[in-house]
Amino acid sequence: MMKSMFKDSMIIMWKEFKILFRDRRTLFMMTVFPLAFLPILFGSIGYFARISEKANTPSAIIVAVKNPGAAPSFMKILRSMPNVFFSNSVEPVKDLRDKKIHLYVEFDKDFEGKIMEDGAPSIKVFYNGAWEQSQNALKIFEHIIDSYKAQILDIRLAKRAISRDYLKVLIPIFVDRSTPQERGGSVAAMLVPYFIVIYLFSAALSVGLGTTTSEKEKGTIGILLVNQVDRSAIVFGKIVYIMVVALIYVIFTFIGMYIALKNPSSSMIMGGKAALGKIGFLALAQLFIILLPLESMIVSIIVAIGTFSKTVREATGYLTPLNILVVIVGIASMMANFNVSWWTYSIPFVNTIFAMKDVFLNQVKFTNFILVILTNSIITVLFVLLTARMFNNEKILFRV
Amino acid sequence: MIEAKNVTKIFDSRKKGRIVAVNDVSFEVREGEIFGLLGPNGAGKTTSLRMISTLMKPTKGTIRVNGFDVVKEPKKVRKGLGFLTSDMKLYESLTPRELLIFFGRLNHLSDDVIEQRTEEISEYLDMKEFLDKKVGKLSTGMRQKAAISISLIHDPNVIVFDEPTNGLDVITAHTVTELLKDFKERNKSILISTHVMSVAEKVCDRIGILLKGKLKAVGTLDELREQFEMTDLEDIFFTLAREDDEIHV
Ligand SMILES: Nc1ncnc2c1ncn2[C@@H]1O[C@H](COP(=O)(O)OP(=O)(O)OP(=O)(O)O)[C@@H](O)[C@H]1O
Ligand SMILES: [Mg+2]
Repeated sequence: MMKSMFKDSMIIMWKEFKILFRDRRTLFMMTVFPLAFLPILFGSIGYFARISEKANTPSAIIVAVKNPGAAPSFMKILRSMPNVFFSNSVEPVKDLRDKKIHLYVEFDKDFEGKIMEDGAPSIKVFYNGAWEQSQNALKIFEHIIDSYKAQILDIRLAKRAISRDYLKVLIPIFVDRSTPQERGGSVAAMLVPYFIVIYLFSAALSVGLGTTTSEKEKGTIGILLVNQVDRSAIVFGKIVYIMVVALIYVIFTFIGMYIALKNPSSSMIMGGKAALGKIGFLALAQLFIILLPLESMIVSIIVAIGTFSKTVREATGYLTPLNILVVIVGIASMMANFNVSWWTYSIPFVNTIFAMKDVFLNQVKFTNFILVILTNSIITVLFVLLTARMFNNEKILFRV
Repeated sequence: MIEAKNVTKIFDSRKKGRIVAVNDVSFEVREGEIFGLLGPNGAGKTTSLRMISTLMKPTKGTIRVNGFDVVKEPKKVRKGLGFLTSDMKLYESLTPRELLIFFGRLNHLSDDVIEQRTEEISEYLDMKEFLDKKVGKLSTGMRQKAAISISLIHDPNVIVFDEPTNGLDVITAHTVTELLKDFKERNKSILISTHVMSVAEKVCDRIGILLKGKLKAVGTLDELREQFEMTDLEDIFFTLAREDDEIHV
């Protein structure tokens, strides 16, 4: 009995795959698309980020100065810089706002005099906070101020015959004891569950409705049902098929993501390949063990709703709240940086967030782990039974 | 062998309200005969056949196929039943041969037997040239032949075909009716539905006239002629229809 049911579901699955392999568009979307799309997406984001950084770093800094005569030594440093140019602006504040000059510097009237008398004169720097070039120019100017300060300080200390080391009160040393793996892990802990959950859902959704609702819509389900095959075998075969296809899709997506993250220009977006490349084998295995029941649960819900619905559009309507829930789960998994009590691990969807986080942070607790698998598996079985019943219900199969 | 006793089917749909699609219908289809359910659109033909093939459950009454109750032992019923309706479509991207393998396996036939049956049926229905073409590329007649071959893959002894010659050209329709007659010779029980008088006249041994869900008359063509004292099936049909106030002429 069980054996023939398993055999039947394998026959159903064989048919689904046969149809899939004839469907060039879906195959393309499953394999080539994720492999090409993500690297191109990440690569182009990185490229544009670099271009805009270049565009926003002024090759020449145009400065207007008030009272340059009051600070001859400072001006000497400024003039020695090859990329600093001076403007004779009459209305420097207006020109700054109009982006004609990058900075406007106002020296204290008695700047140099105060310096000589060991005083602290003021230097006022106007910049345009709404203009990136001006902000970058300000950063460069701050460095110039720092080196000027260091020069003056050296002179003042020398006058009093004090060594520079005298100012060093202590030498703090900060050591990060985490390994690069672990740092990569915490980045992954934020991102990977999100992507996995979202991708699994969207893949399962399109494949799932394609083999349930559209079988009803196209009228191909009837022939299946007048054959001897057990209804549960049909449901089971379809669920396994959808799971396999969704997994293939996710795997290809991750290969695509890996390629994308290996590209150095993408490191500024995602924290680099550390996010993916450094996940250990144990974590991968644990992840997989958690993912299977999660996926089977999602797929069984999709199959149930897909079987109930009359049209694909109707099914998509019913699944929208589930879709939103999945996105929330995904986002929450990126933010929820806290630990929760054991019963949280028995709440479907939510439990997966924390289980995956545990895996990445290497803090898996066996009982919680089992609880997650158990909860999601039980829900799967319930939905399989529900769907098998629907296949026997003429009101659902012949809804008018 | 099909035995339908006092079968009633009531649909309670929210949109259309309560519809008595089949109303207290009793008939039997014996071995070695072709029984035709003749009736206009909406008479309840498809609904009756769906109940016989276990896709729907009767609201009242019992149906037995090969001695098995359709509600209590649907799987055993399906095992000996070949069912075909026009609203059952085939997977467009598969070929008739692949479909025969798929449904053959689902009926737990060995691949050898499937191959042998495929050979036989495709020879019989003249399907050889399109056996390996995708269903999506086939004509209506070819599709119908493919659907028929699938419904016969497990060699059922009860055959239930809903409007089997609908939309077919004369040649293809002829192939189908010849097939039915041949299966009758092999002592199978055959039930077809039709709204075409000539089909009922030419193909069926016994005819049941179904109007508004009610079986108005059952018998061989000769019996019906005698009963109504009319030679033409069409006249008999309209007499019954007028009685029932179904059609205003
Ligand atoms: N699933 C259903 N839900 C509600 N009403 C239905 C359902 N199926 C059929 N009906 C109704 O039952 C009646 C009989 O329909 P049926 O399809 O059995 O007629 P038919 O004799 O096959 O007609 P046709 O020649 O048009 O195929 C019709 O009034 C139809 O609207
Ligand atoms: Mg009909």
